[in-house]
Amino acid sequence: MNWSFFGCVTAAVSIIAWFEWPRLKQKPARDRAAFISLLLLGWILSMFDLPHIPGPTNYLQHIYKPLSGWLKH
Amino acid sequence: MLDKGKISSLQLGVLMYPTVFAVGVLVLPASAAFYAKNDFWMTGIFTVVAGYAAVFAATRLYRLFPGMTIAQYSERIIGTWAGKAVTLLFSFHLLQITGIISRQYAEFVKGNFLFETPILIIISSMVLVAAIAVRGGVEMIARSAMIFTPIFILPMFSLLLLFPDLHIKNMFPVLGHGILPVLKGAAAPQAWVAQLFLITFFLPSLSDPQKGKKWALLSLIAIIFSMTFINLMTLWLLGADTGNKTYPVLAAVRYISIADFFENLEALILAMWIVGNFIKITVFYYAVVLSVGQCWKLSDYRPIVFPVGILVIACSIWGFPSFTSVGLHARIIAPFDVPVYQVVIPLLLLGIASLRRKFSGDKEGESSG
Repeated sequence: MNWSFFGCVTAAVSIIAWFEWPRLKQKPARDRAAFISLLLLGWILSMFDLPHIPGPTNYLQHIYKPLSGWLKH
Repeated sequence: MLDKGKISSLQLGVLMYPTVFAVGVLVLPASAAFYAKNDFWMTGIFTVVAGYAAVFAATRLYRLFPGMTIAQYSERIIGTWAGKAVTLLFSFHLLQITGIISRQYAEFVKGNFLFETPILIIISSMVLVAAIAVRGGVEMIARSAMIFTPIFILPMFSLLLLFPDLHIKNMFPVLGHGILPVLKGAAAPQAWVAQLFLITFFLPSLSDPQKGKKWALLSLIAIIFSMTFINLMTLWLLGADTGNKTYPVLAAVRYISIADFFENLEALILAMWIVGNFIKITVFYYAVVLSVGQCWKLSDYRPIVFPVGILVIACSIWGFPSFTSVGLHARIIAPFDVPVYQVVIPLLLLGIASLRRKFSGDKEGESSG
């Protein structure tokens, strides 16, 4: 796990939460839920060594394999 | 509609130009020449089909569902849950593309100018600026585009300074290998041009929506004209060698040396790249935030802008250990993946909506959202 990257993201997440939360207190619960879940998702993703784990692109490579051959040569 | 700002259709046309062309302006000649050899100058012209289809789908759907974006009318057309599923897929696709664009932007900057800077710093600084613009709303995006798009376009004219060094016979023989290589060369640009469908997120903000189609199509024509111009200039300068360079336009501009005084114009290219990609990333970022916000029926999209920014940065590195992998994605996946979301799905939705209206006969789709 890349600690410096995770540390930076944790700092960013904290700053974002500190910045946005006061305004969010007056908004509907749905907005708060969306904010927290998106922030949490980003924070959890940063725990992984993202460049070296399979991502959406690998999944798409698999799906478009029959078509990609036409463009590979 | 989550953003109450209003922009003009002229501003829409102006902001879509760098949205489509910011990456292409540098990489198009190389990727097109890779397949089409000396015929690659024609590839721009063949993108007109995808571009027109995207604009047609977006404006027709807007006419059926005024005031709505794809996130909203997809639920009207195929039902709430199927519509939300489509919107979520769409959002995730856009998020991934935004990440890839940010990575491509950063790789050029790092590879040619800021060699020692960590790539994440370049990516994050751009995403941060884009986040501020998105949070500022559609009016801020449109106004910054009005300033930055001319800055984006101007350096292209510097290629005309190469006039004495051009070899027009590089383009002959025309169509020596047939039309198929040209079509393969058009595969990547037609994916960019298909992204004109993103106007669906801006049409509800237009103060003059009836002119939206006109300005979107004018933008398309300007894009095709620019693509052909860039291709011809690099073909006439570099010839068959174009396919061997990653950024032929940069190579071409480096070549400019007038009277030993007008040199090092590649700084203009960096400026052009930065402002163009700023608009592009901002527009895609705005589209992601809007589609997520509308799917989840949020009262305001602004709080989720910065969290989405972290996801954009994550997507710019997830699964991409090197620049080659990004380039591979752009070359063999994007030409299929992007038109699926920007042309095929919208046309399908349009078809279903039109059929439903015809068979039910009532005005179910016309109430504004």
